[in-house]
Amino acid sequence: MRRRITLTVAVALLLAGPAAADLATSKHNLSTSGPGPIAADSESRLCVFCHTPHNARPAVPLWNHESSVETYSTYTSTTLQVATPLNDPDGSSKLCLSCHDGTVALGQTVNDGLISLLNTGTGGRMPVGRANLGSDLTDDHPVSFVRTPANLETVDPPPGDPVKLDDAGKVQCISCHEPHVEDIDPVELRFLVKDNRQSAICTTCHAVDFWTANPSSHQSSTASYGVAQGAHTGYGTVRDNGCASCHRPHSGNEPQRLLKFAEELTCDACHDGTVAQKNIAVEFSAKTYTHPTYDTAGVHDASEHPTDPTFPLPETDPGARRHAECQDCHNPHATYDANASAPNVTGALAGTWGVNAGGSRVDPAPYQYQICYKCHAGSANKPQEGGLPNPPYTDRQIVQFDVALEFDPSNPSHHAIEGPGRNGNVPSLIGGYDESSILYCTDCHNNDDAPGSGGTAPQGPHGSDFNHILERNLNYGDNNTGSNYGQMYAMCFKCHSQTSILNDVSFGEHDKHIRGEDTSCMVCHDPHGVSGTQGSDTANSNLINFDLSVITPSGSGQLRFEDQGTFRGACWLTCHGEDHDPLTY
Amino acid sequence: MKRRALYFLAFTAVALLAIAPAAAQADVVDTMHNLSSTAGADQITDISTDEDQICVFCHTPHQASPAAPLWNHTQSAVASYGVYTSPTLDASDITDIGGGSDVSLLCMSCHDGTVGVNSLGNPANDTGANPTMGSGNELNASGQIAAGRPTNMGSSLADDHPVNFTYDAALATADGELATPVSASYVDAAQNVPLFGGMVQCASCHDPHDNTNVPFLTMTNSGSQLCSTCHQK
Repeated sequence: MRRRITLTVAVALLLAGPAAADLATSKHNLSTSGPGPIAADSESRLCVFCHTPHNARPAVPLWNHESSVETYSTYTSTTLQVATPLNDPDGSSKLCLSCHDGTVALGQTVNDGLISLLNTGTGGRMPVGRANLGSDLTDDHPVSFVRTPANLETVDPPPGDPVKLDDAGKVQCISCHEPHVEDIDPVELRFLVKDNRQSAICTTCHAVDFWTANPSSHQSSTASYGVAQGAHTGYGTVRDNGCASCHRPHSGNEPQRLLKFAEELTCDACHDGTVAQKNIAVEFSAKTYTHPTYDTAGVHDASEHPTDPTFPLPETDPGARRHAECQDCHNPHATYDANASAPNVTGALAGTWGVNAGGSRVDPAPYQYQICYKCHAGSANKPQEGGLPNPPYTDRQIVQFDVALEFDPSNPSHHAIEGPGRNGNVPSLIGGYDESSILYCTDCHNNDDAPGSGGTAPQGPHGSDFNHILERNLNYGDNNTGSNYGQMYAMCFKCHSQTSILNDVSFGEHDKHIRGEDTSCMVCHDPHGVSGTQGSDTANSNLINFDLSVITPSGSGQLRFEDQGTFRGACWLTCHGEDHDPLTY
Repeated sequence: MKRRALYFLAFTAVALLAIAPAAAQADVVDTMHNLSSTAGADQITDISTDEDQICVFCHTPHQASPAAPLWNHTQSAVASYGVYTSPTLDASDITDIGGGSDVSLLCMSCHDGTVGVNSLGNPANDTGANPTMGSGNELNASGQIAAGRPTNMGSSLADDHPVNFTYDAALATADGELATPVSASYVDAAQNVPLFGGMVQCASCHDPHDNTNVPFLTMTNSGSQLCSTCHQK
């Protein structure tokens, strides 16, 4: 026996060399041989902090650490497709929490008493920091739940994968973490079960729509995103960070959906010119008119749906606050670099749900206008007739704020959003447009510094210095003095030739009204269209819908237009003191 | 440098072999397993008051039951101890030792707490009766290991490291984090951790006659060396 002992000492000494990647070299080695800083001052055994061969509590996995009796606040989310909120952790996750909730001393064992440790937090417990999850688990990836097959964006890990469910089919801490080995992912060093580069662990279960199919720019971009830009993983590109570019499985700032920051702040961490090529964030801060992305917090919810009782969209409550978060128009899992032609969505809007002309949800929206219709069509909280909002809209004879009604292809007239316009003879069209063209909403509503107006700033109606987030300037109403008509009506003249209009190629009195009377196009024309539910083909062709702040009834008390054929018509109205009762052309 | 270090180690090993004094508790006399009235170091408090034979508590030269290892202690009547189960356990032949003839059952004849440590098959001729034991400390009035003692493992082994299962290369491969045993008799080349017909038993980790490595371990567990002989985490 004596011989055996001494041989053991010799062999152990001989074998001692550079330690392999294992428990001994990890932070979970709390013994005197551990790398520290938290380590025992005399206990040399590694296993004892967690395991015991006899009288284990609980029996599996021969557990020796004193259990926590803490109750927890658990993850909850409006898009979670299992019980919400989840039950307290169970199974092996409870064991992890016996240290990682910070309530039990790290050295407190069942069978070996309190083992003395150096450099612990208060009371020998886990120091305050990321490893100490506390009792609030609402900002941590949920555990101890069984995935529902109804969630089509998740799958069970394949057999043999290092990512595993427990024997009850539950996700537990050990689904992602291997407590005995710290550096299987040598970059993250977070005891992960496998290399998590490009979110290999996350995507084992999360089969997010579009992520790999498009693939999303967020999945594929090699743009630098490292510690300096806020990455928490140690990886250095958007692609390698993967999910972790936006999400944190533990202790992010936005608990729901485990986002790194609240709402747009997650996006602008990169889209502020530091990581992504274009600076979107500055559009919201520097422009006079913007979508209310930064102005509104806590209104948008990822569960928004036309039939959702809590978060209906289109809105059903007239008093609901208008909102537009990045995710209302963009799906960060899907968005990618791809051009398209109207009305099809470009890659930037890919994978986003919308509302079709009939008011039904379409997911994903194939057409750009369907994304706009989420808020600008049937939403009850859009500007209301009888209560003109701020900023003021043109006070028209026919009032309509539902743009789906304005763009209905059967309308007396409409701009060509859902389909080509009604007027088959528009000689002013330039820029590649003709009578069969279809437009994007963003052909008019766009960044005033974007390529559409000759700039280099990012596309999209994030913000503009022109009211209504127009891409170009547009003067309204009367008394538009001066002679720079190209500037005053730049928006219209983008597609409608200034020369053609002022030379009276179509309506023979355009020049007289615009140059002669300083009147805006917008006084007679309603750019979206006139709904067939309110107007008529005779009175409202050619987008005719008068601005009542400029135009009043004729001497005979009439206020109307009458289409009398190609480039011919009659008007009953008074303008600039001149009675049209009627005047014909 | 490396060669010099090896020479030094070899010399150290030889020197230790030559000069190491008898380690305390290296002899069963000086352990808690010496239940006799004979004075020994590190005995329990409730030793026998009238029996000075040491071996008799476990062994008899004649009429042993079971024959090997010449067993003399009354065996437990517990029919089932249950077995440790876990979703990550790869051993497939763990068998309940209750009511069987597996060697680990001998340990349970004292350590399940159901039979007095003084309940012998053949009491010593000089006394002619089961030994009388002290009580109130490690033992109760019936001579059983007192309830609540860590050494009283009770009649459930479900919360204990499994025993009575085959540990071979196939198991090591299946688990992925176990050393491959060098033979059906030992896990390790140094022959510290024995197997019994290729199986892990209580005596793989515990040597009941030698408490050099408390508690009766077959090798030191400093730095969890005993655990890591098999478990390569």
